[in-house]
Amino acid sequence: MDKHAAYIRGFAERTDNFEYYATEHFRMSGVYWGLTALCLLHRRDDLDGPAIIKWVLECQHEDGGFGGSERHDAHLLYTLSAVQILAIYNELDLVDADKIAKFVAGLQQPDGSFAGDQWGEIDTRFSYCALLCLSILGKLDAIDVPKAAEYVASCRNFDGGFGCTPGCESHAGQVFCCVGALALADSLHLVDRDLLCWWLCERQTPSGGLNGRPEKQEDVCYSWWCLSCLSILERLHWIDQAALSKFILFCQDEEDGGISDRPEDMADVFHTFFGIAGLSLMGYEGLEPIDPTYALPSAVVDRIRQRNGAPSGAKT
Amino acid sequence: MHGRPRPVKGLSNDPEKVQAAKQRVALYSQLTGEVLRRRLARQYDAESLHLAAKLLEQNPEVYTVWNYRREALTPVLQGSKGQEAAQRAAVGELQLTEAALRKHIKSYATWHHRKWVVQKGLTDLQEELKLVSRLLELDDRNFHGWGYRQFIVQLAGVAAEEEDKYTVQKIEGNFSNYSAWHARTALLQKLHGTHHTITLADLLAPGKQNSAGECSRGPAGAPGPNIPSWALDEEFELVHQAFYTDPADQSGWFFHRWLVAQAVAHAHAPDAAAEATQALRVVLEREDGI
Repeated sequence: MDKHAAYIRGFAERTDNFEYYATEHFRMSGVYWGLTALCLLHRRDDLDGPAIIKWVLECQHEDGGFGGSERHDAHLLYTLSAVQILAIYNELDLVDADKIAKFVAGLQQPDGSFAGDQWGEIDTRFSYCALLCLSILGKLDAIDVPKAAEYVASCRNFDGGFGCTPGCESHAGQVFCCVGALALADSLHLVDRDLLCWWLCERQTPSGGLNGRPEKQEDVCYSWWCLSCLSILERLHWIDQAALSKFILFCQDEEDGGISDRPEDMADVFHTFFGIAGLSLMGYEGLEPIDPTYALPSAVVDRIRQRNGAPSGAKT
Repeated sequence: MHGRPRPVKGLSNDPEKVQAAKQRVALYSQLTGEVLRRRLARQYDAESLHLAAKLLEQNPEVYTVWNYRREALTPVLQGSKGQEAAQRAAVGELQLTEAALRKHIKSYATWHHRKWVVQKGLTDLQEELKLVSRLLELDDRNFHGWGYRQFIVQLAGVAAEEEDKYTVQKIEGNFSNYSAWHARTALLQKLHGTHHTITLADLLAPGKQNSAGECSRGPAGAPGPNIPSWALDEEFELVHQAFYTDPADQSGWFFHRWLVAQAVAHAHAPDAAAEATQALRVVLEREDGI
């Protein structure tokens, strides 16, 4: 755990490598992944909180949305990451929730779907971002929630899974976004639980790891995408958790810390977060529990619910 | 970051390599700085767009720079500089997105930009169809490619019968192509105007036609007419070929389960379900014998 924390800290501090510049446009999500992973390791304060908060606020645009970093345009993906980071630090009062809600609501289309930004890319990933962002801010009433759920349901496929837009193939990452969105919209009745969870648990390969689609290679990130859905749909026991834990642990860089997509590959912050988050969902000893819908430490989610006036520990 | 092998520890001190890496970082960060500076200054001249293209060819996911190009090119594509300039700009964006996709085939930002250009109505859609067919020959599970194909098919008004042939051809070329099986389920519903799903509870309770929970309705609401039995028979035939080729492959089995649900949905033809079960039994017995 010390090595993983040091790896994440090191990633945040090293600014002299190519990756630092090449990932500038999605740094907001990078910080969210690293910070949440550290929280799960009980090491939130390993990063410089005040500096991060100041930087997050600098990335907000006039229209209320946040960019991937200071020099980048506002986008729903990074608006969610920014709000998640502020929630972790319990600093949501620093932003104007109505202004952010207006930005998000402005991206909802007549069919209920969401565009990522003003340029009109439609994807169920953005439905999840919008619903979660507004749930955290306590501003779900800014959008048409039933219409949003209806659009997500229109992306449901023959296998019970969901794709980017209607008619697109099911993919575990996309299934996470859609199940998460429906959970937040209180519309899980639109999911065929048994059919979808059968498809999800068939993602486990003989290595113990999970893949994202049939007949594809396993990858640590699906430990989060698939597992969080199984957890939301109360079917976590449908997979072999011991085998999956072993696979994730096998993907650790034991020398320098960090977790990679597959054993012996190069570690990165994205897979480090999803590996640790997957282990947390399975109740791995010593890790903080994570909420499968909010993708935030459960303690943070309890605080959000209290802030928004909902009973603590309410089911999502 | 996917599929990049872990470097051997301790090899990163080679001074030449360190120098080359430093230079790469310096060049890239200089280019990024220059492009974003010009964007802030709303410079939409040819040189600025050229620099933006250079950056996107190296890193196609920098969405802000695609936004920059769209800002600059929206009036041009609408004909502010004449029809010829609009056509040239559209071709230029298609070439750039193609180069960017060669660098990063899963770049959401690049696929979106290409769709944005195509929607301007200046593109030969038949060429786009050929291009995406070539891509799916190289990578037959690329879901961006399949999604883009669906987008072009819709825009060009390609008949569902044509796509029907295409998906069968893709499946027969590779029975493990789950993407193509998926595409077939969508197409069959389109061809026959129907959609039925069925829950495990429905299957376990014979006699009960459909639990009619919300989740067993199609996306459009109430189920439409059934897929005719003759069409289902053809699909059973196709999927049985897949089972014989590789019974352990998951792709056909998911399709088969859906097919059984379509057969069960024949309210006035309960035999279809029995036939499906019988067909499955034959396959399982055969597999036992292998």
